[in-house]
This record gives sequence, structure tokens and C-alpha cells, in this order.
Amino acid sequence: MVTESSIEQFCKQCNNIFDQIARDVIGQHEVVQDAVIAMIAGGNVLLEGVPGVGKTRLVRSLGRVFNLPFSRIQFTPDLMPADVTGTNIIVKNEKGNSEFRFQPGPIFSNIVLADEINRATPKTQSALLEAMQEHTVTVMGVSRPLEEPFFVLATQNPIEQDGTYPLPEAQMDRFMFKVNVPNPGIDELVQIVDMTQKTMAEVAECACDKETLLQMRETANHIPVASEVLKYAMILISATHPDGECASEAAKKYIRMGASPRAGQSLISAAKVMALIKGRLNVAYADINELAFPVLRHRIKLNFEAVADRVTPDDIIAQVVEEVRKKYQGKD
Amino acid sequence: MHELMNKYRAQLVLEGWIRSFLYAVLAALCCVAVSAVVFWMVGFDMVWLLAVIFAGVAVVTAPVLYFVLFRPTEKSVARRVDRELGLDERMVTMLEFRGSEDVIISAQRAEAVSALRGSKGKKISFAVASAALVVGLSAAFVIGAGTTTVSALSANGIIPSGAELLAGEEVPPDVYTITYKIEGSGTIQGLDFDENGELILSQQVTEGTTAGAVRAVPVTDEEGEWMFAGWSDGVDSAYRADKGVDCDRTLTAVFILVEEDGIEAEQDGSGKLPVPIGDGGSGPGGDPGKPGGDGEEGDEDGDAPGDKEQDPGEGSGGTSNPENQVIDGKIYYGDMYDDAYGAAQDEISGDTGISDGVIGIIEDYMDIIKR
Repeated sequence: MVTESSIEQFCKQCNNIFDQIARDVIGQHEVVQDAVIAMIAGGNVLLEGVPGVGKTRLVRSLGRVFNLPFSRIQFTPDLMPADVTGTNIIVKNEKGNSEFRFQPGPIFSNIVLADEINRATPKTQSALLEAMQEHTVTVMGVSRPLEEPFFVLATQNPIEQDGTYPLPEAQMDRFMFKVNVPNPGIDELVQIVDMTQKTMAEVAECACDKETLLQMRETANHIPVASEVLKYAMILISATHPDGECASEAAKKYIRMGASPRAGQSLISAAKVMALIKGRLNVAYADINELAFPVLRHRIKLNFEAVADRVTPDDIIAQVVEEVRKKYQGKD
Repeated sequence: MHELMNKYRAQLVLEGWIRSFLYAVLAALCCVAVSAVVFWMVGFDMVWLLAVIFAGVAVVTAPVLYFVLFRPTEKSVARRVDRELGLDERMVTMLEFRGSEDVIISAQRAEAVSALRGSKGKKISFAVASAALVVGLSAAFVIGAGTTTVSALSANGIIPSGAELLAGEEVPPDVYTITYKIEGSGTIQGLDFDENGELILSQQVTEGTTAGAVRAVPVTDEEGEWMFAGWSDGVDSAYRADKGVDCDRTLTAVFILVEEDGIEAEQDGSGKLPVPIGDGGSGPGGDPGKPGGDGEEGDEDGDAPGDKEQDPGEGSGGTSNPENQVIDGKIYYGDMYDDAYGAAQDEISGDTGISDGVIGIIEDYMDIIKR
């Protein structure tokens, strides 16, 4: 239940979370913010970055700060679905009879780190689909719910594409955000090296527990969104479709397939959390425009012309946002 | 909330009225421009009606525009406040959820009001006219003023109306000059004299009309008697009234000396009558290439090659003086001759006893006198 105190606590809690994560993860403020927003909003995050930029460390820090059980799955080509979801094994019961007993896989955790997810085969990747969307796991016809909050943080490497299996669109769509983890700047690099020379230990402390996280999620869900802002967000989603009602010029030129309705849900959920983090109790156009990048960049399928012109998804989204902002922002 | 927004609403209402008025002026100017063109086209001279049209359109359009387009609504005021004061859609959200008593909605309302009060120092900019409107107004003003001026000038008869232009009456006819020259001793009657009593050897003719009648008249001087030989454009008759003049022309009246034993060729002494020569002027009557005398090509001034330039002092003794053409300084001898010729004709026709041979001798004699 949302109370005045829960609203007041939200901002403080967020600041506390950011402070603790900053003790382990130097810089990467945008990445940390997006990951925290997704966690509070109940979404999954795909982190993309070259090796060594702190993706795994971030996930571990999140687990510790939220004081949630954390499991890590290193995806490899020989990883099987049962290795992720768990399987039935034969055990002896008290009476000495053999019976099947479900042995939960690493997915039965609150925070799951799917490291280098694109190295596993599509069959294994798809083992995550149900868990990510419905928060349940079905093994041998029996569905088992995952404990809330459930959160998948997957990482993938943008280079070394040999021997990888690009995630199918259906699975991509289940990630609320795709966050690009950039290389740290010089100052950040200096701090990282300085810190790790002293100790590699992670020092972030618990700043939030499971109940608080769920309470924050509920509070965020109640944030009001003005109808014109909601409509604007949906127009933005629609503008990514080359043949949509509000198709933007950039979409017509560069996009083969636009974002799904799930993108709209993610955008609004995330915008509510962002508004609260900024100390506001309503969603603004600025939240929508800012979050359009992590929400849409993995959901739009570029056409050949975009590839030939070396246009990135972020370039296209920037054009779409600019077009939609000029045309529709502040209008009924 | 109303109290909070009233200050901004008042400004936006004023803005709305000004904007409506400006658009109304734009519409009125367009109407004036169109009306002025219509007035000018049909030749309607009640130009003051344009002022009535301007005022009428402006007065009617301004309130219509205000109430239909520019009247600020609560939502538009909230939107404007959000945008201008950087309130991130707080006011719009507050307005939309104002009926709800939900905890978070109430908190949002309180937060929005707090943010609005916190931005007291900021003001909403006064924006009434976009660049496009200013350009449109300027253009409409220039076009409206221009067409009104044209219409007014047309109504006052200073410039032709559109109807007159379409009827083709707008172009005034051209005026051409016929210049006369005299070769030999003679004068040209029918032309005007200037204030010094000098004959003006030209006349102005309006395009398509007939030139004033002139007559080439020889003048006897100390060299002897002269006779008219013809005009440079080949016309033999001394009297001419050129019709359908459509360009400037130069005509030379050629006079030749009459010897006692007949007509003398003026220069070459061949005894042949001179062929009228080209005058080298700009008019079509001149024929610079027409051969004279020995049949060679004409020179620049139209004289035949080999011809000497006529020296008025030697050749004709300046016989073009009108004083040489009258008797006793009063009576024009041409009239005397016409009277005498008329009397002789009467005598001949009345007296049946005169034979045809005698009549022929008398007519030859009269003809000699005439020359």
C-alpha cells in the first residue's frame, strides 16, 4: 500500500542505493541508474559492453545492495536448458522408494546473472523466456513460480561474434532495457586502478531489502501519468514502425521492424521510476525521451540501408525522438 | 489551483486577444487586397469601401478567432506554465487528476503547487506573433496598400482600370514627324511658321491619321523661273496629304529651273528632266540607293553621284522666302493665277467661236504661266 511515508522514503532509498553501488562501481552512472530503474520497475536488463568494463561487478553489487540471493550462469555453447532451469532427479524417499524430485537450477534466485548469454545455443537461451516474462519455470509439465523480485541481468559482448548465437527478437523483447556499457573515462580509469590496487573486495553494503524493493515498485506503479504524456509515449513507440500510423521519416528509411507494445509498457513503467528518482511525482516528457534509448535500442530491427549507412540504433532513435518531440510534444 | 493559475491565465487571455487581432488584421488585409483588385478590374470607383471592408473583416474575425482558436483553456494554461517554468508536466498532471483523493495524487498536487511557488521569480514570456505571422502581415500590408493605391489611382482616372486595359485602350497612339526639305527654289505651303516668321519644315502626325495637307510651290528668283518636279518619294502632285502615317518620314520637294526655250536639266545640262532623288533621310519616302544623273549608286545624303551639292546662295538665290511668292507684298500670285486660269476657262467654254486649235494654244500658254 502506498503511503506518504513510502513516497518520502523512495528518494532517500534510491540515493542510498546509488551511493552504495558507487563504492564498487566507479563511474558508469547512467548504466547504474538504468539497472536500478529496471530492478525497481521489475524488468530485465541486457548489458552490452566489451570485456572488463565492470558488467559482472555491477550485477554482483546490485545483488549485495538489494540483499537478494544472486546466481550466476556462465553461458557456453554446451550449456543445456536443464542446467538453467533445473531438472527432475531420482531420489529415494523415506520409504526407500525411488521418485522424481525437482532439483532447482540457478534460475531459482532473485537476481540471475546470465553472463555472455549469446554464447549459448538458442535452445538454452529460450529456457529463459518463460522465466523472464511470466516469472515461472515449467519442467516436465509442472510450473513453478519464481520468487519475487525476479530479475535477469544478461551480458553480451559486441565483438567476437564467432561461435555466438544472436538472441532472437522474442527474447530481446523480454529485456526492459538494453544498456550499453561504455569504456570508462581517464579519471574513472585512474580511480578504478587505484581502488583495485588496494583491494579487489567488493565493499558495497546492503541498502535495501526485498520488501522495500517491492514496496518501491508498488509506489512507482501508482505514479500518475497525464494522458497526453501517455499518448506521447505510445506515439513514440508507434513512430518506430515504418508503416505505422505515426511512422517517422527515420523509421521509414532505416527500420525494418519497430518496437512491440511491450516496449510501451516498459517505457511507462521505467518513466514512473525515473520520475520518482528525480523527486517528481508525475511522469514528464523528458523522462520518456531519455528512456526511449535503453527501451528501444534492442527492439528495432534495422534494414539493409541502415547497415550500409553504418547508422546505429541510437542514431535512429535520436532522430525518431526529435521528430516526435517537434510534432506531438505538448499537444492533445 | 485556480488562484495559482489566474495570473498566468490573464496573461494568456491578453496574448490570445492580441494574436486574434493580428490574424484578423491579416485576414482583413487579404480581403482588402482582393477587393481592391476587383474594384480596379471592374472600374469601381468607391474606393472608400475598402476601408469599410478592412474594418468590418477585422472586427468580425478577431472575436471569432479568439473564441474558436486562441482562447486559453485550463489545459493550455497548464501546459504553457509547465513549459515556460520548467515544471515537467506537473501542472498538466495535477489538472488531469484534480478530482482524485488518492494518496499519491494528493502528494503530486502538493508537490506541483510547491514547485509552482518555487518558481515565483520566473515569468512566462509574452509571445503573440511568430516570425511567419510577422512576415505574412508585412506581405499582406504591402500587397493591400499597393492594390488599394492602384485602385484609388484608377478611380481618379490617373491610370486606366483593368477593364480599360482589357479593352486595349490603354496605349496612347504614337506621334510621328514628317520633315520636309526643299531642293531648288520653292516653298511648301500648309506648314506653320515659328515666332520669327520662319517656316517650320515639319509637322507632327498622330499614328494612323492623315497628315496636314501641304503643297510644294516653286519660287521665281534672279536665276529664272522654277517649276516643281516632284517629291523625293515619287509623288508627282505638288499637293499631298499623307494618309496612315506609321513612322517618321523625310520628304524633299524637288524644284527645277525653267529656261526660256524649255526646261533645263538642273546640273548636267542634258536637257532631261531630273529624276526625283532619294533624300537620305530616315523616312521611307527617301530612296538613298535610287540612281540619279549618270545612274551610279546614290551617296549618303541621297544625291546622285556626280551631282554637286545645291548651294542656295548660287542656285536658287534663297527663293524659299515667302516674300518672293506674293505680289506687292500682299497677294499670293498662285491665287492670282488660279483666278486668271478660271476666267480663261470660262471665256473658252463660253465662246463657241474659238477653234480647238486656238483653245490648245491658250491652254499651253496658261500651262507655261503656271510653271
